[in-house]
Amino acid sequence: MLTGDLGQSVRSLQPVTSVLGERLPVTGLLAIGATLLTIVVAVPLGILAAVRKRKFADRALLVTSALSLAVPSFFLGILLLIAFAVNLRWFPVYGYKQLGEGVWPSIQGIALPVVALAVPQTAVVARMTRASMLEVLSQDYVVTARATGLSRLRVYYRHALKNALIPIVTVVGLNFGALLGGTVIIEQVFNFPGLGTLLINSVNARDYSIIQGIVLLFGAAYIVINLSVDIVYAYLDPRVRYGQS
Amino acid sequence: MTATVDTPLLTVEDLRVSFAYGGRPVEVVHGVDLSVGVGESVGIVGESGSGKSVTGRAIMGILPTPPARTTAKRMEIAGQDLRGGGVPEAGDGHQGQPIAMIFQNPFTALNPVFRVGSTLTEALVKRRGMSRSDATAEAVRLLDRVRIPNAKSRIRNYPHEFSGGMQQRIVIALALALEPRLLIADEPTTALDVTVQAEILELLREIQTERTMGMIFISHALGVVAEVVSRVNVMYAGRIVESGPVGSVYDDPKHPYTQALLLAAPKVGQFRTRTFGIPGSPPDPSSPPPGCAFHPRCALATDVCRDTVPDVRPRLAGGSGTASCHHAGESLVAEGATR
Repeated sequence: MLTGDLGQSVRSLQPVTSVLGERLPVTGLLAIGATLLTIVVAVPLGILAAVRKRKFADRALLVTSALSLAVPSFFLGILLLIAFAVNLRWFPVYGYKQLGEGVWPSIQGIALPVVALAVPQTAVVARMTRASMLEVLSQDYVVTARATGLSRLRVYYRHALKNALIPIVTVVGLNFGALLGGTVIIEQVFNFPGLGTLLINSVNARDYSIIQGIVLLFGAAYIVINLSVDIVYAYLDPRVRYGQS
Repeated sequence: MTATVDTPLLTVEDLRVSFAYGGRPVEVVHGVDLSVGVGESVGIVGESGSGKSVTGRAIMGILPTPPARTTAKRMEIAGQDLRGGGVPEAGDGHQGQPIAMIFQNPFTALNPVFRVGSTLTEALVKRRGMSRSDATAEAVRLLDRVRIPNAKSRIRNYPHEFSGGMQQRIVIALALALEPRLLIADEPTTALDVTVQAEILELLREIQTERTMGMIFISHALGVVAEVVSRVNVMYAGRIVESGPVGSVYDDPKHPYTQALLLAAPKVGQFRTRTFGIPGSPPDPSSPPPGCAFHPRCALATDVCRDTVPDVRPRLAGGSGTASCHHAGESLVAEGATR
């Protein structure tokens, strides 16, 4: 195993590494897409809620995020399929078939599962961003920046956000693990041939070497993500330094 | 002591600040009048919660609105109206900012994730319209001016790599980057130890003289204020209760609150077995006492103090300064109120 040989599939007799290699890009695309979508949507929303604290936008975010967290992602996935793929026909029902056929079809293909994965994540990250921004906005250096006559937007996005990002990065990183778990279910709903589908099929078929390979892969991914989070800390906060100074 | 010039730089009349507190506005500054001459240095002293910082921040335009609400009959710097709220802009093609402010705690006043050079150059680029390279050179000059050793290399350091006194110098440099005509210093030495305090005060005095810059110096330490200002305003519960030239207010306080404050301050070379304190604590701004706000703690209080707010009256016939007290001029010591 340490030499990189994970053995053969008990069923298909193919090497485990090549089976996983085939499936990994699909799951990776879903997880990374969902994470990017989460960050792009959740961070600005959280900032908006913090800045407009106790106003309409803040309350609306609170209610929406509670709802998004309460809806299980497989159910959300089915709703999205019915609404946008079956009724409106904006997106394909079997999206993975379009992957690799140009940029736009690929985006169309993964859009629905990515959204289904990103919605609960967005709720968590947006609320985290709000809390973190509120804490930073009450700091003295924000008052100093305002007193220097810098515009509100500049103070929020440059001076406050860089400080507020530290806990946000933690949450996004930790949630990446949850996201990998989420793909298992979402791949079923959208019929994506990723690691999740492979895992379930292998469990049903008692294909132990494949299961073992997937578990190892997920574990490794988790470790890599946590390491990158720690490295990002040092970039965001100059007070964090590793090793001898 | 700094030169007192008669041209008014800052004029504030009837400044009122209230905060929305549980849906109902609570006024914390009740009609403050203040004036600062060009190059003049004016002090505001008072206990915590007397409204001195809020007054400073209201003039600077950095109170969060809402919950804060600021009104004034007049509030202008060099003819420019400050009542619109927000940080004042430099008028008529000038660069910079007419007022700058420095704060109590230098450890938290600088953004920990930016190099001090980048904080300074940002202000210079955004507020003085400088190019990036000019701004860097100017940032080094400013740090040099506030006596940061090796300014040229220190500019690349982060705030946590400086001591508290050095951080306060950087905050001062940041304020100077805006070329202000008035500097509001809100307890700039409170968080520092005594020797560093003296250095910072010295630096402020020097810079103020060399730039003919007006200064409002806010502090609760009477001694510190006396070192840097020529006129002093004593604040209590959101009002200026006594004002005047620092020498005459300290030597001959007319308001019993000022008298009590001075009695409470220990003096070098004077041995005391017990210290004098003012009994009680400042009133809750949401339910102020009727009449003079100081009457519940005042040894001289009579019936008139309990139901009428005292007018602002001259301290001395024909002299400058004011005292707002029904018993202005009566002495706490003579009344035996000090035990």
